[in-house]
Amino acid sequence: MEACERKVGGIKLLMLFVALNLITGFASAQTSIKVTGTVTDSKGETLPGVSVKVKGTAIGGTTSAEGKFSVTVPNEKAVLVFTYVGFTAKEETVGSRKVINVKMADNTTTLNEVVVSTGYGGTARKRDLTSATASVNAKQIEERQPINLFDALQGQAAGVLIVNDNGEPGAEGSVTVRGPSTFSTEGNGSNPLYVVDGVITDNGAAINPNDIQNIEVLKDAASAAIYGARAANGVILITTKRGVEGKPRMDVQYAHVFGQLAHRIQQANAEELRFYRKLQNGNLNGSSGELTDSLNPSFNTDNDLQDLLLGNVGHRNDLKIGMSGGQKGLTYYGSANYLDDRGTALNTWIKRVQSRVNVDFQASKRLKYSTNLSFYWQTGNFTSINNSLRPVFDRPSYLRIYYPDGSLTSYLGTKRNPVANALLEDNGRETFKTQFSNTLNYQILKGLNFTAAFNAQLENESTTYFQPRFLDDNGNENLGRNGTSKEFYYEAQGYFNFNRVFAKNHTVTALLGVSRDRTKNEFMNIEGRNFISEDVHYVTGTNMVDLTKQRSGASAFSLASLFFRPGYNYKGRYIVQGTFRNDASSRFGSSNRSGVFLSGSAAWRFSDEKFMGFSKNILQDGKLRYSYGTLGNDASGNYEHLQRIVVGTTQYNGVGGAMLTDKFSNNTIRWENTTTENWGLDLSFLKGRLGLTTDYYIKTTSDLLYDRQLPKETGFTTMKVNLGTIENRGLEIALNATPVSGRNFKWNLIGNISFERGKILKLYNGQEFIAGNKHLIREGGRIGDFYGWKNLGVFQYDCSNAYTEDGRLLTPVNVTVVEGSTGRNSTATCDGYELNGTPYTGTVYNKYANGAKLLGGDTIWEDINNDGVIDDADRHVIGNYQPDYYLGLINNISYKSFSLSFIINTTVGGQVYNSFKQNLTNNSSSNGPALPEAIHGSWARQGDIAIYPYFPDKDTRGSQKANGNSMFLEDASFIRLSSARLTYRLKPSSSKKFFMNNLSAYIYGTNILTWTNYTGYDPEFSSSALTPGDDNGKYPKRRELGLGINIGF
Amino acid sequence: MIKKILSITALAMVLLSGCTSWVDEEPLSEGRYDSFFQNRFDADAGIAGMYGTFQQTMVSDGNFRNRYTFWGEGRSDNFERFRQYSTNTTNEMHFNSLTANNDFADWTGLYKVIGQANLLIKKLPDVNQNTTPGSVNELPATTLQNYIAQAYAMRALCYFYIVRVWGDAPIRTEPYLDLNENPERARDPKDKVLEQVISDLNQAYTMMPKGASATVFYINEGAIAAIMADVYMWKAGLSKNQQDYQNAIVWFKNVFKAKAPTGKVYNSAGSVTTGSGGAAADLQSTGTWKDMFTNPAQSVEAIWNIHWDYLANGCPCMAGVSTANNNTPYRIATGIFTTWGAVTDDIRVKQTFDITKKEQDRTWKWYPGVYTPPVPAVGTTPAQPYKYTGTFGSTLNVYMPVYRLSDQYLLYAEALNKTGDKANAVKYLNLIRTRANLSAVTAASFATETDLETAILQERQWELFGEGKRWFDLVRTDRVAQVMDPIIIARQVEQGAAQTGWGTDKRKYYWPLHRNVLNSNSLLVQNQPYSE
Repeated sequence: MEACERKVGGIKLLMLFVALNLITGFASAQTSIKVTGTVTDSKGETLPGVSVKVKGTAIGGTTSAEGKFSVTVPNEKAVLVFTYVGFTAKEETVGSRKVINVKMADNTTTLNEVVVSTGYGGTARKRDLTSATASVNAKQIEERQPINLFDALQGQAAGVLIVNDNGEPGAEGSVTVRGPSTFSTEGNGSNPLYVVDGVITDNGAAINPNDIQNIEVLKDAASAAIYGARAANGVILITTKRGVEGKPRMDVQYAHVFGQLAHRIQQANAEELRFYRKLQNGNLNGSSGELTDSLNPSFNTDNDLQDLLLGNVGHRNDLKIGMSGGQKGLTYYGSANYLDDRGTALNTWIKRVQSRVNVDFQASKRLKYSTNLSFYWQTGNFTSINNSLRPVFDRPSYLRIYYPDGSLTSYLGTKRNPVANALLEDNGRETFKTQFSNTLNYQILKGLNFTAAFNAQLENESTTYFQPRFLDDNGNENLGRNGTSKEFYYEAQGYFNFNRVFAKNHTVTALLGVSRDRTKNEFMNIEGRNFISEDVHYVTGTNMVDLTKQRSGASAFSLASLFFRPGYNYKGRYIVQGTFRNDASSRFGSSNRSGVFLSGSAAWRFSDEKFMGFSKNILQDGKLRYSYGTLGNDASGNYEHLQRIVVGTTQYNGVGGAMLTDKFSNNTIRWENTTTENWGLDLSFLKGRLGLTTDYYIKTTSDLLYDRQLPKETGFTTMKVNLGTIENRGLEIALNATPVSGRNFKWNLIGNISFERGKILKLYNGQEFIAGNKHLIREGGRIGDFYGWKNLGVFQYDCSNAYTEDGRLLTPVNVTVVEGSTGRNSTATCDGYELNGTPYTGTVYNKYANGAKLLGGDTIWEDINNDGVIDDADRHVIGNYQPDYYLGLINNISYKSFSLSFIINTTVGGQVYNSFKQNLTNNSSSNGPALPEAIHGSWARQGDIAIYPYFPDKDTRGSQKANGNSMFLEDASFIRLSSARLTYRLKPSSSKKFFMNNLSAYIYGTNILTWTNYTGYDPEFSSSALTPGDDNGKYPKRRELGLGINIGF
Repeated sequence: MIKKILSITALAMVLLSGCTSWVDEEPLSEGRYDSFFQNRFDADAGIAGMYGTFQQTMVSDGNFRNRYTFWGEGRSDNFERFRQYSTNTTNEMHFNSLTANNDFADWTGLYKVIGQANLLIKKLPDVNQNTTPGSVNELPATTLQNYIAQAYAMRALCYFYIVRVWGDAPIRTEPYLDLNENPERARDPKDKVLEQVISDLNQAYTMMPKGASATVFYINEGAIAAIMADVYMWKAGLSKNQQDYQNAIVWFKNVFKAKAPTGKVYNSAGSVTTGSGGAAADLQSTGTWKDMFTNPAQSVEAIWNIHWDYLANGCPCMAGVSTANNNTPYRIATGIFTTWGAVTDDIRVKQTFDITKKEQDRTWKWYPGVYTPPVPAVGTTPAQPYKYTGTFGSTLNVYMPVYRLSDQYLLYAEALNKTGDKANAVKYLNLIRTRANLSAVTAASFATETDLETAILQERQWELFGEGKRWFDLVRTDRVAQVMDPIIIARQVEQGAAQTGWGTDKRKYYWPLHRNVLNSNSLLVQNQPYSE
């Protein structure tokens, strides 16, 4: 990863240099010679921000946006030193020249000059990091044309599992750093903490990826502990772009993207439905109900609902404008983004306008003021298939979509018309987000800075839902809902940063600060029926009918913190650092409110030791790291330490009711504690052309917060408790190579692979519990364990239910079938049994379920305890959601003006429960369809070799096992070519002719190819941390192809 | 400088460690328990909360979740699944193949009501501690007594449902408020649960002021006595103990002497001498039979009705027994739909459900309306048997009776029959029959005690259709297999399924414990023979 950064990560350093030069550069102005010139790279492209200094003095400056510089040197002997990250420093003696044009050569070894942010204004050279931190820079982000942070990060960093829900316009995703380490979905749950330009943000989803200069993922305790109480799931530090002194620079980017449903699922046609109706009656010779009329066109039509609903071509217009520049002491960066995205699902769309302004003002040599302002507005329509695809598959294909006159149908045969719903329902959502942050930085002494920051965020969302009478099953009632929610968050922080070098080799750093924040949420939801005018979609008061649906509410929580981080570095060879943080959260009772989080880390650059001299030619840099520390998570609801009274959720005879909350309060709850131990090794070979970073960690979370089930007889349902321990161990390897680095041809490869092994070590009283309805949480198990019965097929004959005493299935011999009117009325008897091909003469044992002996057409379940009865005792863990490992492979290849980048993203191991399929094949509604595999795969007669049971008996003889049928548990492994982009960049000299600094055009695709055995739409989708991998029909992913153009002025 | 840093550190440390109260937050849209139950308004809200939860549990906490019906009637011959709309839950009731996954096998709602009753019993006596006597905040002593009595009776009724539906159950008579108390408790034997029910009802009856007109939407004097009579009848049916019938009779008399919502004593004659009383005038009249459902507060017969206000609580949407926005998964069983539908003399059948709607899914018993005699339309054969004019729909209030006098009369008849007073049993039976416009029967036409019991049960089935009684009647009189076996076999034949019938295992009178209930308390043991 590092090698790539070298190429472009300089922009980051540039800022530091700008800042330095602001302070130092313009201080001196002497007489003598004024030298000007342009600095370019090996391709002739100008380089802005290159440091130009007169050797041995503080005189100098940086190049402008056009790569131009102007320096006044004392005399002709003066030597100009040009330095820039990623390039070999160059020295030029002035001599008699007044104009010096410099071409700088790429250099791979200065990569370690990359500076990364460590939070609260702290920075460190990447080579000096003692902790596990992964970085992603602007260049890497740009290569994938992301529309949100999840796109931008996927596959980029080891130990960071990004699940992307990029099917629906405006959809987000989830980020899990180093495996789930909590049971809770409250508070931050298992989400990492986002820190954008130093301020804590609850979610990174709203950030325009184009604004991002750099992302740091803090994975271990040593790096994240400075964020203490909320850092247990890792911290994602995002630095946005800032302005550079010089002439204004403008970048315009436009892309048009076409999207299409990436994968389709088979649907039943009218002919199959006829057969299915017979199956439902158990009689293949019987009637198929009303469907028998072969001349009736509407019984013989096949509407491809999947195509009508989901098969549309998505269009996305994405226009991004970035502008930056500045003059001495005042720099700015501004961006705007307009996104118009029409989804592949009918009538789903969003429009988004987003803008950011970052301004830095150096008021004096010591005082700097920065302000960031961002604004986000999104509106869209999300059809009801947002949550469930069921309606698309739940309507028989023969039912009309339109009447002959072209008007839409509504309910037919009790099934709604999903096309009508998609078109006529109003399901709108509008979101505003603004963030405003101010930072004041004052240099007290050289090396000692004080920073005060105040940040405020406001998020406002409103939803409207309206269902016209036409869509009602009786056609006489309409329904509407309006909701608004508001979240206001503020944070104030103040901290001192100290950084000084003593006696040349001893660098001491320290950070000390306090912070305080508060979040308040408010909501209001109202619902009405019988709207007089269907043009009005707002509840007007008189149409409210169910008072329990009219509600407003609010809640708030606060956090106050103190933090301290000392560090020491000797020659970059021995580095130690520690952190201390104390947090107090309102989510806990006053006696358990305060938590202390400590960490320590050390690194040893063994390659700098004398005894390693022999390897200097191959191994340029080698460093061992170790860190240990604790982190917290206040993953609890807001007032769970208080016994509360809910009011107004019930009303009786005109009096509003009050009662205790269903959840029992627990005033003893406190922080979850996560301890991480991390061993790391950083190696850099062949002058930086090959870099390797390896981390091994053990992350243990104790005092887990979760909702323990309370015996229902107490009148309460659950209680928050602090019990239990989870351990995650993992290995992460990140490789960064530049196999080819020619003048014209260059190939850079970044790969990372992460192995995670989680285990639940301890639970309250060792009590296992069911999370949701299919996951088992037990000691020794893992989060994401699926609990159920193992499906071994379907009994072929009545007499197939025959076992040996030790539970081996026997094969019937000479079966005689007497056909009856239905599958169940037929009987099958056999002369005897065979075991492994040899006649069996022992006693034959049978299996029973629901009080009856199992027959042909009943599902064969594994009888774990071999007691002859299929019951609860035969439930066991049938699989797990967590992948064994996942990897990302990023290639950047450039040849002259062309560059190609592509990303392969793979998850191996892990399973997903296909609830969507089970619902559609279990469906007990007799007038819906099933999936073709269930229609053709069901047992109907004695002797059928089937995968689905005999329909008429499926519910009553235990053949279904909803939520726990191993047949629906599928391998979720996939390999995906998740994005590729081919760019043509006009030579700088040519683009200049069009008055542009930069002109490039590209073609790209996302979600291009996927190899998987999963039979649903896609095995990758985000889900709740405690009950992951339950596919109940998500908005399917789209395959995208886009064309774009970037223009820089 | 170092000094500076140190002093700043020290200052910050002191500030933070001393100021965890900085981050205090109070609930914004909820109340705090420690400052509740301080005045009359809190007490009123607590009582409303208890009834509200009971109502949600029994009538609707979502579409088609009327446990009132499912527990009391769903497994009987009154209802069956509506095949097109049926779900696993209703299929299981239809085929008598209940599992622990069945939504209605969950007793959580009843225990929630019990928890609220326990809390009220504990906290209400102190509600006036900080109120000024005579102020609006004060809860008057008589109201306080009445409230506590209602809480006892409500707790008793919930346990009575539990013991009838699941048998053994943990008894909790104190609210769970202490974190350190082990929340798990094993099931107590069903006899002990019934004892608790009886003791609670005695307590309630003692505390409840006597002789007041019933406030029909709340538990009142008559309601307590009616529950108690029902409890003893249940006990008697299971134990076959004559003493229990005698006890039931004592409590029927207590019902008879209580006052109806109109102020009239329910059955003044019957409250004195066993069996002799009872007059047609004590019942809602033939012509206004329906009024006791649509306007119970003005009925001489109503004892206790649930107050379901659609505006406040939403659509009741009860499967099979009310109208709803969606198609019901459960509907009127074919047997009763055809046989009773043919008894057109009976004024009740036409007012109970739409006998012309072949989908068998329109019960309009709770909705106001009148029917008029047949209007033969020209050219239609057969003529419409009758015409109904009225309103029914999801935006109407429903007031389902929990107890009413006809139910008590028929139960009383059953008790009299069991205690050898055939003549008076027939007398009470005839009061209901003649009110329904059916011919009176004579004691002579019933050869045996069982025959008369059959007739009484038949009358109960019709009179109380939709009121959640039929299943308990069948269990109490041990007739489940007899009635249900042929019906289940017919259903299995229709389905093409294995014909196992209702079966003979009487342990299946009880429901299984829901899986969530079992998962949450390790001391609970599933009812046999339910295992999956």
